[in-house]
Amino acid sequence: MSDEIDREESLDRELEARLGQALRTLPQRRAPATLESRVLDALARRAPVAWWRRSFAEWPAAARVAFGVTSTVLVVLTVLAAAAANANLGSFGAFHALSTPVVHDASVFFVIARTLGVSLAPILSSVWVLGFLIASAALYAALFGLAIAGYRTLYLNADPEVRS
Amino acid sequence: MRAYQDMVFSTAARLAGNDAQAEDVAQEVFIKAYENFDHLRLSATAGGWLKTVATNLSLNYLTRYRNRWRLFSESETVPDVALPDGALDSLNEEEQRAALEEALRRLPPHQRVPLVLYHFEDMSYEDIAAKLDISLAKVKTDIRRGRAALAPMLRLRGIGGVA
Repeated sequence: MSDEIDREESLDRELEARLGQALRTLPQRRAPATLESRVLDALARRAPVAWWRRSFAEWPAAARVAFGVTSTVLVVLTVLAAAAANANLGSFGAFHALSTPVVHDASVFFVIARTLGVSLAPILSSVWVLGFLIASAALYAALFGLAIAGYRTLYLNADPEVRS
Repeated sequence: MRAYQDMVFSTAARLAGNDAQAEDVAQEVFIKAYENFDHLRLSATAGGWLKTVATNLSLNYLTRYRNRWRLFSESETVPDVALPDGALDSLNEEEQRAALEEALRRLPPHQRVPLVLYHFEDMSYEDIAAKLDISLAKVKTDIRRGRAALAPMLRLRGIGGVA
């Protein structure tokens, strides 16, 4: 029994050596003539895409900083303008006197929010508000996670033949 | 690119067992090389880097189909990769090598992939098991069966020194 196993192992080793030697004599496969042009075409298709059409992570650092600063300034200006308009809303007439649509809309939002806050403050305790905010954040995170899981399952891991 | 394209294509073709898929993999390899051109331009190991990327991308491709070839791996019979008796002796050396290459290509993926990694990439059984996320015993069994399927090809003259 032991001799038979030894003989089998010996044959395995011999086959491994012979096959290894045989496979090493195989020349490299010649790449298709179309490969080089395919690669160059793929690279050429990438090149013309302007930086502002790529993802934000690939933008130049200066552009990203400028975008961030500009966005922040616009948000601050809008909030300040709306707050100023809201503070001056002593009379309904002043409310209608606002002619700029953006300031008008923002001031309406502030008025509604302030009215709601004043009305609901006695009813809702801070615990309820905090709970609501936490629940909203949790739901948002769950939805976000679900979307990522769906994207990975249905798109990234999909059969390429099906995808194409 | 011209200096390495045959090596990259060969690596991908032997793992994938399909020239069209190998060309896709090779294209992806060279696009990655372009993205890392600054690093590779001065590197003495650019060839090794390309071979590693070609191997990994080919395995990534095959991973998509792993469940499929795992399913068949237990029930599949060893394919008949040999030519009819007498046909072997009539082939010249180049044709004999082409026949061995074709026989390798016709092996089922679960035998061909570990066999290629072992004999062409010089990986150990343990490394192959880890790379393919399968057991060591299965790697050894599949490689042994793959070798057995290719064994008739060793009767060819001029291959592996077997007359």
